[in-house]
Formats: sequence, structure tokens, C-alpha cells
Amino acid sequence: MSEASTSYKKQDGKLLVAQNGRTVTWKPNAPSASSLTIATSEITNLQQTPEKSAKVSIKIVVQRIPGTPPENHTFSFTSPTSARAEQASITALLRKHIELARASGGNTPAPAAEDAPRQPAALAIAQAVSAGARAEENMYEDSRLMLNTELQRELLNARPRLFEIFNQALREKPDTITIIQFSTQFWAARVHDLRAYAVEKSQNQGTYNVLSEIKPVNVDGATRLNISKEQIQLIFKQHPMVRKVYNESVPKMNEGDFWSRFFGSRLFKKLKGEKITENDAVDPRLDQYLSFNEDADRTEQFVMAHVPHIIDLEGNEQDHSQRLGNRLDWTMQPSTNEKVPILRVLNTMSEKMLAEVTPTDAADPHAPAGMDEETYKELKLRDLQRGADDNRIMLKISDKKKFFTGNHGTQNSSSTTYAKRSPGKVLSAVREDVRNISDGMSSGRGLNLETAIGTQEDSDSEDDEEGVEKKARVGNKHSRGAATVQIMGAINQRHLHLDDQLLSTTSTAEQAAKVGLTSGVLDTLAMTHNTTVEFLHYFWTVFLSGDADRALEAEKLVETLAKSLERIKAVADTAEKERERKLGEQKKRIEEHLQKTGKRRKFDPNSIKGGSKAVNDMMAPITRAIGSALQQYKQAYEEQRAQMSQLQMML
Amino acid sequence: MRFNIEELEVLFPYPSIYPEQYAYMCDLKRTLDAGGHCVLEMPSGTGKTVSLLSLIVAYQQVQPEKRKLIYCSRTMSEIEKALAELKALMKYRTEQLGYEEEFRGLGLTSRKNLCLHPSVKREKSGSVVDARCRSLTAGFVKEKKERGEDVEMCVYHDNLDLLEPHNLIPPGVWTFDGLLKYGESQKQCPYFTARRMMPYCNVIIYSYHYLLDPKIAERVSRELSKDCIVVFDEAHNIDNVCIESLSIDLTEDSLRKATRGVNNLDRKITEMKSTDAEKLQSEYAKLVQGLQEADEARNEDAFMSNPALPDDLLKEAVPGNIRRAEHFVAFLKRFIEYLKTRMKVLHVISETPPSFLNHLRDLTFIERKPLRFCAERLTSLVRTLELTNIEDYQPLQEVATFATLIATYETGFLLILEPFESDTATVPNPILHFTCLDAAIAIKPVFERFSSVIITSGTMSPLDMYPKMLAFSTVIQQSYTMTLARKSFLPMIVPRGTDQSRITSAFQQRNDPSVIRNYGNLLTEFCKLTPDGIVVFFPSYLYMEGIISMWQGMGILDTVWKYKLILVETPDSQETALALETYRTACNNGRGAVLLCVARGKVSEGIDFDHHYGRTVLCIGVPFQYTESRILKARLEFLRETYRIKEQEFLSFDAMRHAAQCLGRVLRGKDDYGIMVMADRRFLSKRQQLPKWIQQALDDKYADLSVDQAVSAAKAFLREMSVPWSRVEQRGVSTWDAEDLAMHKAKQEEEMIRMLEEEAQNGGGMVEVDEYGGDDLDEVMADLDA
Repeated sequence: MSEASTSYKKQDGKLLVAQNGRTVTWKPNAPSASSLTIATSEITNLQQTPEKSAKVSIKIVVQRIPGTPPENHTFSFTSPTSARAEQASITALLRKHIELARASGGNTPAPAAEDAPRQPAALAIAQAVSAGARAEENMYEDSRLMLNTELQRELLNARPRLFEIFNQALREKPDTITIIQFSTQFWAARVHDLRAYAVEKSQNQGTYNVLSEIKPVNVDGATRLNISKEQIQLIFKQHPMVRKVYNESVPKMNEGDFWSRFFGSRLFKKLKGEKITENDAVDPRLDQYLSFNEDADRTEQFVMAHVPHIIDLEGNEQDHSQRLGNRLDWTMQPSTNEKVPILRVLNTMSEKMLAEVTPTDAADPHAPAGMDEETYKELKLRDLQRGADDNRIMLKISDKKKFFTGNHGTQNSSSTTYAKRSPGKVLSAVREDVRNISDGMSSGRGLNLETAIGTQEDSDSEDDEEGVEKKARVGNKHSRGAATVQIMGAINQRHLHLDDQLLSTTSTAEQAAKVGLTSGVLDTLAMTHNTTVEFLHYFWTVFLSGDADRALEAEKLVETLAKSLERIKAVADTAEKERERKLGEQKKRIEEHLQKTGKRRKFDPNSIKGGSKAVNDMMAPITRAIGSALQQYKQAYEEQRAQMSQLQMML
Repeated sequence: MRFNIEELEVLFPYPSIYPEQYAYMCDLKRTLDAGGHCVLEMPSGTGKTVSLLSLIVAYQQVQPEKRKLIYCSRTMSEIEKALAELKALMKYRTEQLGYEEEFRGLGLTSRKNLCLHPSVKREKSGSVVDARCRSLTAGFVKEKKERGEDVEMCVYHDNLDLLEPHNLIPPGVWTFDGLLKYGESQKQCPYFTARRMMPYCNVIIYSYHYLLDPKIAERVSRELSKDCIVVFDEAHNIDNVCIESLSIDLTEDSLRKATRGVNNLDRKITEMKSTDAEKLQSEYAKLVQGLQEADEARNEDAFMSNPALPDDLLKEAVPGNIRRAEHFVAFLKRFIEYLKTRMKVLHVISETPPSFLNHLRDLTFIERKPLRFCAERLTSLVRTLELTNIEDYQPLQEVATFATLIATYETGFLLILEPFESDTATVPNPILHFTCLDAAIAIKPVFERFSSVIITSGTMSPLDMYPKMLAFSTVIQQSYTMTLARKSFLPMIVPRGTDQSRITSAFQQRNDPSVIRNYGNLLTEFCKLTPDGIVVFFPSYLYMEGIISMWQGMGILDTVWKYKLILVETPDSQETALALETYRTACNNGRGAVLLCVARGKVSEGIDFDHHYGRTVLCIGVPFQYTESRILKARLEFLRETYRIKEQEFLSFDAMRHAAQCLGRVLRGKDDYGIMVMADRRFLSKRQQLPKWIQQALDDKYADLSVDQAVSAAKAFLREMSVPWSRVEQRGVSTWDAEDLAMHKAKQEEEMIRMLEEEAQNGGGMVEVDEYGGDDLDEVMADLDA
């Protein structure tokens, strides 16, 4: 992109970088104002606002005629959504062209201008930073993640399952779709996974205070020191001073010797913040470093640019500048750092550990939201606050029926039963029941619940003969049995589908056994399902895009979908064959049993589960989805055909 | 939510409320109605500030006279927080009412904290900032500029003159951050904006000093009207602030510098005599006429104001012998020399001001009266000489302050000369303490001037200590307990180590290795079990430094490093602020950290460790004051003789208020939870002195534990706290929504009616109205009589 909406001298306009990169032009939106053109070759310096600042602007320093004071032009990027991105691309483009212009020589001003001391700018404009830092900030943007093939490959390698899906789908994709198209499509649906993986990857474990970990151990009377390579590296990292001492001493000294002397030295004690006493061993070689400047041991440190008022202890102390009063007693007077170096050492060590972490209160006080809001958020009594607002989007369904057209029959069966009853009858039935109950009561036997609901075991025979009790009472044996079966069935189904724990703990073989399939078939089935979903997903994106150019793609996809159906069928066939084989085996066993014992066993072929029925049950939703997709496609296709022919007729 | 307390509609910026907040507001309202003072102890972290502000702002807005609220807090951090709460409250009111009320709320802190001048704000010391600011903004500097002289001025200050004096900043509530930002954008001085807008504010939030310390109260708070509502929040330490504001130390070094200052002054006078003798003459003339420029003291650029309280000032002309500039300088020199000779004594002296003055008169013929005018006279001189680099004269200013104070006050003060810093020191380093023993002196004008003074904090037990010490009477004294739907904090007393030996920070035993090891063990165990942040408080710097060094030597800190980052409060406040930020970051990022600090230090005041910033607070040792301190001894004696407060009673009261304050730091809101460990055998006998709300939560079974028992109790507690908990379970018990509140009110009314009926049966209005009555009851009773 070479164009961005910016404001210059408080006027809105557009900043354009010419195609050939020779000039940068700013054109005002208001026609009255004058525009500005800068030759890239005349630009001596380019500055931008720091990454974190809320204001996005660049400053272009131009030296039109050598020897004259340079001109500054500041452009603020005004796009509410993508100011930072626009700025980044403009800056990158400009930098490229400036470099080109410089390399080609010509009328380039002295390159020394870049190094020239910066003017004390009123705005805190930091030198344009390298593109690397910026890349990090946007690392989690969708577009970046999509382009990061390295990351995608790593993720695929890290998750074999995903890899399998990817490969399978890749194999079965229609030829019209290029690999790039396919992978874009594939990852577009999984950007969140990519992001999560990128975040996961960028997290590192923090370091620890290495000096506190290393302790000489006493083994058989001799002091031994165990220290690993990583620990040495960490020591060097945390204490640059030790690296220096090591560099200057080790060739002369044996390495092991150095470390054992170091851990017994005064220098070591000093680094740990311990007080050095007379009794500590003297080591002329290492002791010469004792007087080192504390800053020499500073490494990357936790820093804070701005102290928020809520922890501004200095501000608290200075709150009353005319404070006099009596001095505190001596127990309350802090000693100097020389007397108790440990305090500062503890703090700096902790700060070193957190060097790479962004401070909690790093919020820029000059940001538009400022500290006020943040400060207040911390003060809020959270439990007095109402729970977080429900941020779900409520779906307003105007014609609910449409959504249940698929299977009227399975709709709540009891509701249809109730719908058939007439209120009058029901009421009289209930009254009857109540009368029965009260009758029972009046006879002095108390309330017999079983009678009340009509489940008198003794009165009902084992087989619940028909006609004896025509009215299906609520509590009779049959209805109770039916209810139990229904409930158990529902529970089993739920259990199979929803129990995460089951899914995660049991192997596929076990799951397969539950539905009566072999694990091989179940795996194939799962794979087929996954790829089909993938293609469905792709189909809908293409189909709903309404892009005429993609019509061919859609057509191919429809074919693929049809093939998917076939694939499902193939799996079903395999399953059926398996079942038949099992059935055969079972029958054979029964035969054998019969021959051996002469007794015929009852055999119910329904007890062998699995087969095409199981497969089709499981795949019913996806089959329906494919069906609906195909149907819609067909419909649209027909409509278009009709339109086309109409058009042709008109022509 | 919106609700009524009697006839007053209160807008409370949350949808629900804690029962204690409601009770607190009711009592506040009764106090305001009755027009008296009160002492209220409200559990830490139950939203005291927001209750206070909601009620008082509601009260202000319905009253035609719009009484101003002066809200005093301890530290700038707390002031900033209060401002933020006020701002949110006003935002809520605007939303609810549908219009924006005409309202101004501002905070004030020192120039140092509010300066925008590019070079002045970089000065490290607040008094230097003050001095440099004055040299850029004083009236005479402006005059000089107008005369065409080349003087530096502050553009931020000058820009204020271009604005309407009563509308320097748009209405609304401004936090310090907001004020600074506004000042930066408008290029106007935030400090003077706030100072000059004080008279137009509905709410002023600043630190106690601005009301109590005559050195600044005179200048800042003089024009506040009598009907202001004054609140001292976090007031548990207010007596010490009172004392501090009338006490002063002189050292040999400061006397040396004062001499230098007075010599400089001498030179300046000679210079001026040769160039502009007229000015000195006119000053003299003014002093003769006794035209103590009344407005001069009020002048915001005055060098210093009188360190004595307004009522104790002499309203007469400056005595003749110090009217002439050169005479005054000679007088000062003589006085300083006298002080220097007194400092040479090598034994401790403690004497009363009259005895000191007698000795002074006998030796140097300096009388009491001119001494009393010292501060005022010096101010006038500095002004006449148009001195700009006044920071050089600060030690001289201290001497003048000392002179004025000692000549003004006779009783309740003591002069103590300590030649050696400690008992073991051999090289003398004398300090002359002029110490105020009576906290009531400094606060007296406040009670006399303002009709309603509210003293409140999370830790004020025993409540009657404050009226006693500060010599005032209250309408209401109340301590609220904390209603809890689950036990969200666990106070424990741990008097024994794992090895069953007693642990204590008592002076004689504190260096005992077994005690130190046991404390170390306590620390490591709690670092292991506590998630995120843990705060440890020690009784003094000396003790903390000692024990940390010993722990390091014993390898205890090496173990702690395995579980937490270690951060320590250090003498340098910038360094400590960075340590605090590191601590907070480590708590947020999951690393976890332990913060070691001092119970009376700068971290213990005004820094909160709520939620994960402090899941455990360890109070290692009872934070007793150093009892061998001569100043403390003198104060104890004074308290016993004057207010009949026993030494031991005061000492343990003082220690426990600080301990409770430390413990309370970890709670904010009822969804927060934390462990409070009091590790010292002496806590066993101090249990009754804890605030009611802690006592109530302190089960007997947790009142005497060894370290390992405490560890398992804490683990069990944390496990309990990890059970998911929703606010639904709190509803109606520890939080009320509008319905619950209505129910409570209905119940109360019923209760009241029942009581009235009973009383009516018992013989009409003969029964005395008890404390639950209030105004309504009074009215009803009157009806009954009639």
C-alpha cells in the first residue's frame, strides 16, 4: 500500500508514495489547502512515534539545499483502525526508496545527515526502529499467521492428528484447487490454533537466582562442587562481573580451580550481598575485583518508565515538603547500603529475573485513556459489581418451524401426546384419581401410593395381558419399562457423545467396541468425517462468496462432496461386511453349541451391533448436511440456468 | 444503586452494598445532622472511602449551603485513590441523574509532585522545589520583570494569570494524573491551579498536614469556612502527625549551616544598604506601625509562615529590638551561638521550655517576646531583600521555627538534648529535640473551627483512646464488624516455632539463633504454600536488616529463592518503588514474590496488597516502638499524668494499631481472601486489642499455633478458598442489593415501632431515649408526650 490517510498541520489529507518511489506527496482532503511534495532523495531522516504510543505519526526531515537548515514535516496517521499498519507500510516503503536513492548516488545529500545529532523534538519521537521489533508486535495478526508457513509446519508436526486431517484433505481435494488455495482455506479456519501455538511457543521459562542454587556439598570429608554448564552460563548472564573475572583469569588458572576458588571467595560473598568479615579467606587474585563498581554487574534489568501514583513512595514522602518533626529513634533509621548490602542485592536480583517481563503498571500515562481508568479499576470492589454483562448475542428466530423440518417425528414425543388430549377429559381423569385416593384414605388404611398411581403389582400379571387394562396408566409396568429404556438409551447416547473424559481416557478401540465397530473402521470413519467437514466448509465459503469466477471451483467441490457420500457408503459397506462376518461367526458358534449339547440357543441377530446401520446413524448429520449443500447448489444452479436461458431467449 | 437514608437520597456507585457500609453511612449522617464529631472504625477493604464520599456528596448536594468537604488522607497514593473514587462516583451520579451537577473536586499535594517546570521538577528534594518555585513565581520577581530586568520566570505559572481566576480548570473531579495532564496540555501550573481553585471546590482532598501543620495550614487552609465537613481518613496515626507538626530537631550541622545563612543575610543587608536603603527603611517603618501585613502570611509565595498555631500568635507589632534588619541578624547570630554552646554538653539534658528560656535570658539577655517573632521577622526580611536562592536559608528557617515554637509553648512540650546517637556511640553527634508531647494541641483548632470532624480508619481500637488523646468529644463512636458469607480471611497467632520454642521479636531474645531459625522456617513454609504475593512486616528497620542478613547466612533465603522472588523495602524510596513494581509484576505473571518491609515504614502506609498482591501477610514480631527512646518516654509520662493513659496501655495500643494496619493491607472487598499471621508470643496477650473485625474472625483454635500447625491451617484455608465461589452465595448475607436493603429497612422500622409500643406501655416518654433512637425517635417521642 502506498497511500494512507494522515493529517498534516492539523489538516486531513492523504499521504502518497509515488509508484516509482521518487516522491512522497501529501494531498489535502479540502481542496483549498495546498499540497506538499517531497523528493525521496532529499529526505535525510525518518522518524516515527514509539510503538506503544497512542499517537501514530512520522516525521520526515528534508534538506532541500545542502547547507540550509533542514525542514521537518510531521504526518499523523488518522485511520481509526489501521493507523499503525499504514504507518508501518509507508515507513517501510519510504525507507526502501530512500536507500535506493542513496545507493544510486546522484543528488544525494551527505549520508552523514543520518548520524547528525537529533534536534530536541518537542514530541517524543523515537528513532525509527528496526522492522524486527515491529514484526513482533503484529506477530499475532491473522494475516501474519496465515503467511507464516514455518509456524504452520511446526504446528502440524506438533499435532499428528491435525497433520493427518491436513494430509487426507490434501489428497482428496479437487484438482482445481491449488495447494496454496487449499492451505489458505485450511488455516483460515484454524487461525486461533495458530495463534495459540505462536503464543505458546513464545513463552519461555524464567530464570532463577543461580548463585543461591549452587552449594558446595560435603562428600566423604571433601567439599565438592557440582555445577553444570547451563549454570555457568546463567552466572555469566546474571553477573557480567563474573564473566569479566573469568575471562581475565581462566587461561592462567585451571577452570575447575577457578570455580572452586570463586565460590569460596570474598567476591562471591559480595555478589550474594553478604557481609565480608575478617575471617573470610583472602584470595589475592579474585579480591582485586572486590572494589568493582556496582554498575559493572548490572545486566538487563527490570525498568519502569513511569511510577504510577498509587505506588509512588517518593511522591508520598514528598507530599509534605515542609515536614520537620523529630527524628525517628535509631531502630527505625535505615542503615546505608554499605552496611547492609544484602537489601539492594535482593532487589536487583529479583529485577534481573523479571528483566524480560513488561511491568504491570507500564501503561503510558500520556495515553488517551490515561492512568485514571486503570487506577480506578484496581480500586473497584469487584464483588459489589454486578456480574459481567451477558455478552452473548441473542438470536431472534422469527420462524422457528423451519429449523425443525428435518425430523418432525423425533420432536418431543410426549408433547404430541399431550397435544392430542382434551383438557376436559384430563381434568376429569385427575379428579377420578383424587377421589380414589381419598376413598382409600377414608377407609382408614392410609394412602397407598401404589394404588394411587395404578401399579398394584399383585393385580398386574407378569405379562401385562392386553385388554385387561386398556388405559395406559402412568405407573403401570409397561410404561415404566418403556420409560426406563428410553432414559437409559438417552443416557448411553449422551455418554458416548458428550463425555469428554470418556473420549480422552478410553482408547478408540474401546469406543469402537461400544458402537460395535472395529477400531479400524471407526478411524476411517472419523477421518472421512473430518475431511468431509473440511470440504463442506470450503464449499460454503466458495458458494456463499457469490463470486462468479469461483463457480467452477464450486462445481468441483460438489463433485468432491458427492464423492464423500460414496466414501461414507464405502465405510458403511465395510462395516456391514464386518458385521455379517461377526454374525456368521456367532451363528457358527451356535451351530457348534447345538451339535455339542443338542440345545438350541436363542439367537437375536439384533444383538450384534454395528454394521452399516451404526455407521449411517453416526454419519446421519453429516449426510444431511451434504444433502442440503448439494440441494442448495442444485437449486442455485437451476435458477442460474433458467436465468441464463431467459437471457439467451431475450437475446 | 439509589436508596434513602431517612429523607436523604444516596447514590451509591455499585449495584449492591455491604451491610456495614450502610450502617456506616447511617452513622455518618447522624453525625452530620447532629453537628458533632465522631470516631468510626470500619473493617479494612470494605469500601470505606466510597461510602464516605457517597453519603457526604449526597448530603452536600441537597443542602442549600453546600457545605464543603475537606477530606484528609495519609499519603499521596491514598489521596489519588480517593480522587479516583470520587471521580467515578460523580460519573455515576451524572448517569443516574441525567444531568451533570455543578461540582468541583480537587486534590492538593506538594509542588514537587505537581511541578511541570522542566528543570525545577527534576530536583530531588521537595523543599528545594519549593524554594526554586518561589524564586520563579514570587510577586517581586514579576515586579522585577515588569521593570525590565532579566529574570527567569515560570511560564506555567504565568499562564494562569491569563485565565479567569475562578475558573482555572473546568468543573469536575481531577485526579493528580488528570491535573498534570491538563496542566501539560494547557501549559498551566497544576499546583497553583489547585491551590487557587480551593475556595471554589466542593471537595478538597489533601493530606492531614494541610490542616494540622501550622507551617502550611496557615497558607493553604486558612479561608475554609466553619461549616466545612472535615474527614480524617486512615486516621489511626493522626496523633503522631499532630505531634510531628509541632516538633523540630536541631543538629550541629544545621546550626553550622544556619550560621552561614545568617552571614549571607548580613552581607545582603549591607549590599542593599548601599544600593536600595529605602527598602529597608520602609520595612522598618511598616514594622513600627505594627502593620503585620495580614495578607502577607496568606500570600502563596511567602518564604515561610508561622510555625505556631493561629490562636497562639501575638497580634501586636514586632518588638523594637529586632525591627532593624541588622539588629535582627545580630540577634539571630547570638541565638545560634548560644545553641551551639548548649550542644557541647556531653550528657543528656531534658528540660521544659520555660527553663530553657530562663537560661537563655540569663546568659544572652534574649527575651522571650522577640524570640517569638523570629519566624515572622525572618519572613519579612527575606521578602524585603528579595532573595531568590532561598533553599540556602533553610537551616536558618529551622532555627527561626525552633525559636518561635519554644517561645510560644510552655506546657506539653519538652526539650531533650542527646549528645550521642546511641548508648554505645563514643563520638558525640548531638541532637536537640524540641518535642511536642500533646497531640491535642495541634488538632485543637480543627475541632474548634469545624462543626463536624469525622475520624475514621480500619484500625482504631480501642475507640475511646482517640477522644482521650486528642481531647474532644464525640457524637458517635462505633466499630463495625464484617459480615461474611464465607470466612475469607484467616487470622492466626503463632507464638511457637516448629520445635515448640517461643518465638518473639522482644529485644533480649531477638538475636537468639533458634528464634531466627524459627522465623526463617515460618517464612519459607509460607512462601511454599502461598500463591502469588506474600508480604512480611518487621517491627523496625534495624531488626529487618539484622534478620535478613542472618537468614542469608543460614541459607534460608536460598530456599526462599526457590519459591519466590525476594524484594525488600530500602531507605531509598525510588528504589523501593521499583521493587514494589517488580513485586506487582511478579505477582501478576505467576512468578510470585515476597516483599519484606517495616511495619511503620513507607510501604506499610498507603500501599495496598489486595487480592493476589498479598495472599499472606506475616507480621514478624509485635511492632512496638523502641521503648528506650527518650522522646517516647517523655510522651508516655505526659500521657499518664495528663490523660491518665498508662504506659503499657499506650504502648500496646500503639503496637497493635500498626500490626492491625499491616494485616488489613491484604483485604479489599469480600471476594478477596488472605492469611494473616501474627508471629510472636506477645500477641497472645494482645488479642483483645485487635480491631473488632479481626477479633471476630480469630477462632480460638487458631489463637495459639506452632509454625507447622499454622502451615496446615493455612493450607486447609487455601484449599477451601479454591472452591469456586459465586457472588450469589453472598447475596443477602454479606452484600445487599436493593431488595435486601429494603427488607432490612422494613425490619428496622418494625423493630422501632415495637420498641416504641413497648415504651408506651411502660409508661410513655419516661424512658430515656437510647442510642439507637436518632432524630426520628425524638420526634415521635415528643408526639407521645403531647
